[in-house]
Amino acid sequence: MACAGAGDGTGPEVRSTEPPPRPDACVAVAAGEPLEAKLDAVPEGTTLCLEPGRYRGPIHVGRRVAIWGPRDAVIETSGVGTTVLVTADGASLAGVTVDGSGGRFDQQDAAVAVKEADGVRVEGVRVVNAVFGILSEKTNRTVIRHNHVEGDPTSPHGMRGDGIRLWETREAIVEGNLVRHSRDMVVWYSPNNRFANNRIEHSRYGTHFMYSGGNVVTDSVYLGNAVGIFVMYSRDIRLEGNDLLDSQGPSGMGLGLKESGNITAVDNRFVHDSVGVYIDTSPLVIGDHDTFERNTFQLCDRAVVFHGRADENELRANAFLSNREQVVVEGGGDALAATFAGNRYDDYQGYDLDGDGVGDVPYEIRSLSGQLTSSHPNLAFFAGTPAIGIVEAIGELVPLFAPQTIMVDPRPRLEGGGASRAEGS
Amino acid sequence: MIDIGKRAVVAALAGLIAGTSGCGGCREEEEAAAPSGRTLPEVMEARELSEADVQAAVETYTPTGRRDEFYMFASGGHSGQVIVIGMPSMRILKYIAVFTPEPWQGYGFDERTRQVLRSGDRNGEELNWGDTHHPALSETNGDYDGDFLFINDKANARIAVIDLTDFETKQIVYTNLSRSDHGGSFVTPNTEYIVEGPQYPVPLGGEYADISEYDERYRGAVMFWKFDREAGRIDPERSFALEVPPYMQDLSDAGKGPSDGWVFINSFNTERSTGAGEEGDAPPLESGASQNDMDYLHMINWKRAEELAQAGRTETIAGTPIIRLQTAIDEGVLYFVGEPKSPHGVDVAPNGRDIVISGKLDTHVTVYDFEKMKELIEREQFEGRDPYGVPILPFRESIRGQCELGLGPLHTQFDDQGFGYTSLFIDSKIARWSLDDLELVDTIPVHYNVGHIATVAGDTVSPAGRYLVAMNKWALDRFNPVGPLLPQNFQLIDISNPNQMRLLYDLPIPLGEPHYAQIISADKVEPLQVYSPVGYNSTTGEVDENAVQGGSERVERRDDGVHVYMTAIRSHYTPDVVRVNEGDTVHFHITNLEQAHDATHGFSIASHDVNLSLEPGEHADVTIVADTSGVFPMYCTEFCSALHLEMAGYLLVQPAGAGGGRTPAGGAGGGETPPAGGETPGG
Repeated sequence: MACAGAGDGTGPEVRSTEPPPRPDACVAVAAGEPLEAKLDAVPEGTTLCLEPGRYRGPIHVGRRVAIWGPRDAVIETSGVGTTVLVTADGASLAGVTVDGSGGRFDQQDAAVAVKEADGVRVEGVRVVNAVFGILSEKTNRTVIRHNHVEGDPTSPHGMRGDGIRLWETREAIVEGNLVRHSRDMVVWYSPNNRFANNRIEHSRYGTHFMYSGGNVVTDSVYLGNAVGIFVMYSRDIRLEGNDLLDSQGPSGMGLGLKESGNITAVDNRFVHDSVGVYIDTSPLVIGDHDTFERNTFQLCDRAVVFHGRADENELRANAFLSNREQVVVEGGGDALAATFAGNRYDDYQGYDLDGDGVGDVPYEIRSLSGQLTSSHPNLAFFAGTPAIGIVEAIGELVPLFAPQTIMVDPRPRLEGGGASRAEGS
Repeated sequence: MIDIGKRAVVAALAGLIAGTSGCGGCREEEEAAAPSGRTLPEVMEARELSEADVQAAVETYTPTGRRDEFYMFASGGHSGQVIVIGMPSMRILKYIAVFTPEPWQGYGFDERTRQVLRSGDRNGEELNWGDTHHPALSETNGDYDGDFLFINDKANARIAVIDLTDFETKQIVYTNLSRSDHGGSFVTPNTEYIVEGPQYPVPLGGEYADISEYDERYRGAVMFWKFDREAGRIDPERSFALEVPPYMQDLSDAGKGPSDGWVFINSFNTERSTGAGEEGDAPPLESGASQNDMDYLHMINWKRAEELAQAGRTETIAGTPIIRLQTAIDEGVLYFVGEPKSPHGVDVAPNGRDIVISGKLDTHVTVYDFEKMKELIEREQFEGRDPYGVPILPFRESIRGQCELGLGPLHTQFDDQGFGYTSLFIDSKIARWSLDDLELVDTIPVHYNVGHIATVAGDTVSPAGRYLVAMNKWALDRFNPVGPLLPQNFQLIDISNPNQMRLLYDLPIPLGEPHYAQIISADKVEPLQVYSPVGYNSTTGEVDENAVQGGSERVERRDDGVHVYMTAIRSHYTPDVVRVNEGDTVHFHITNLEQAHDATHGFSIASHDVNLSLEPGEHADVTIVADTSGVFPMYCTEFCSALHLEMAGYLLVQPAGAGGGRTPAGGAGGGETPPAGGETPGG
């Protein structure tokens, strides 16, 4: 079942990757009929309805024609090249299964490739056995909706192709797709696209933005990827209501920012990631500002990591729960230039005598152990144990190594914070 | 593992106890005994140093008079120079002038070094800078031998030869086939050739072709520069090129051991994007070149190519014999295999069989297996051909495996413990991984934007481990700010402990942006102390024809101007007053008569753009036109002795038409010797 796993309570809603209903007026195509000849024979604007059965690829949709089929209408690869190539404005492919592609990475052999066209729709398509899933190159207003791209779980990441790949693509809508066991969802040189309600599982980069500003990702689930969302050299990205779960591995991170700015992350949940959010030299441009509000960081090894400087990052009303480390700064610095305000920290040891829900003393991470563990990572073994506590306590009493203040939240909240929808579950 | 942690804790606690001893009297004694007047814990507290900081300091601090164990030769980026650094102290020892005039060394100021520098001029343009990227030490049997260093200039496609007996640039070569290079310099295992791969394709030979003819007319040329070790120079007559398709060729490495006889060159932009163009209607180059998922690793059988070149299977374009692409394809010289897109390093492991390649947006390195590739070639098992007909080996069948390391792997080096080290650009980390089982072992953060890395002899057949230097860009917040242009940052990392890497030291690089570096054991380098015999020409390696021996100083007037034969010795020039007429061309021939180790003299003339470096025993020539009358002090610009300030003299340029003065062009030793030949000007 395409949506297996989506109903386990972690996703905001169950996604449908079922084929859209059969269009009313369409020209039927019998199984095995040469599809491309048929495509060329009908007038533009025609919808072809495929009967169940197998159709031999590759096909080139070079005219404004719609193809619809049920899931068991299968367009199959010849073993070479891209299986369905769409180059006509307004063409569409819906419902069918596309089985396979050629095997060449250097030519990006894909199940479906949309190139240099406007307003193409790929909807409810199931992709199996292909190197690349759905490609969009130099297109505008492409709609990629409710598709299911299934990669090969036995193949290492580097030997898979991308599930969905946008390159020089503008104003696309990518929503309700399920991508599993692929390599990356790539968004390069592609501004102003919308991604909503997608589910990306067990892949490498769940979504990789590079030089792609103005993109919005909402209500999506990223589960078990090496990296949930990575933003490089891109500005004005909004991430809202996403679940970034179980991003593990050497660089496991829910969200990574490199030299990007004006990133707004609201109401996301970062759960069981090696690193919840990794911030490297972001924002980059003077005057830019990153905002993290009402996110939940839970069960992460390290919830928020600054690779270096932390200024112009604002964290408000987030919840830090059961993370091994809440805030880490690499390279010996601190995050005092970042704004932490009104976040909840489950290891807060202050009090709220006036009962206003806000701790009366600041939440601070002052760390001798941070200093020691940054040079002796093995000391992390003692994290949370009495041993490190003793060292910390002595360090505070006798400031041989003055504990370094890593961050301060002057108004830690005692209740609430975090992703709003997390509260009910 | 726990032991290390425990030790640190115990040490920290011990420090605390020592620093807070209740024994006031002993404390005072301790303090009094401390040479600095402060105890170590007090210094640590005042300077906010942790125990680990102190440990790192102790591991790099090299007391005065002690030598470093290693030399690091780093490219100097757009300074056009090479930086020599002692390791582990990370003390900068010398900037070797290569493609850029450098007054301290007199480089480009005296006739001899000017000739070397100017021999790199192209198109009649004086080129006064270079973009040095990849230094390559000469090798014998795949190990650095410490004799020579080569370096490329990416901006102008040139290769320079530096002799490590005196750390001076001896030769600059180029071919008109290329306008830029990147895949070089690197050497074959016995320095048979210095290989220079191209970067941006152009019409071969400097011709014009419109960018719309990119696919048809633009090409790359891989140069194989023949090295004559006896002469210590590249022999352009025995060098040749190989034509490659108009992809952008990138880094490269020579095979070794089982893969000896081959070179490997990365590429990007196999899309052949030519950018947005004047009309701006196509994606910019960076985007266009990122369209495809893979680029092509070029495998070149250089021994076969050498046979073809020797058999005359070349055409000559712009004076350079080149093996044409079709010949290379027909004769089994050139093969491709897919590689993850826009790769940086292609690094042949010490075993000569594993070839490590990183796509810069990947999360892993890919380890290719040369034996498999060789078999595929022997069986002619190709998965296709590129648009130019070059056979493409199947990717999956060519590799041994992949190792997941982190984000943005770039360059790989090796050590003596079976580890590979790969810089991770996006993660800003160095990853250490096991070459045998392709498992990640450890990572360490670096600041910021790491590019190349270097370990000791890390690209040879016998890497020595110990240290790794991460060559990071733009040090943002690591150092005191010096304005918007940021220094680079070399970070020295201890890799001797198999369980954990440790950062030891940050070295800002304040001139240019270095790329690659190589690190060699100091005992392999044996520089001269002085030039001998006196009058030595350090370019020819012989006594200069104009060398001046003590007592033979003189001034001669000839048809081509006034010749001043001068000597320098602590602390005077002979002659120290030189009289000429306005408009004279004046040739200074100066020999430093010293044979003492610390007796370099400079020679400058006010307002004439002259500064020479006369190292002990060295001879140098410089010519000026005395086109402005006046009195111009000459002085020694090296602090050569207690009477250094007195090492000076005058160039007297008598106004044209002025009469009645002393006879110009005479005067050895400042005395009034008669005019030495020639006519007497003035009147």
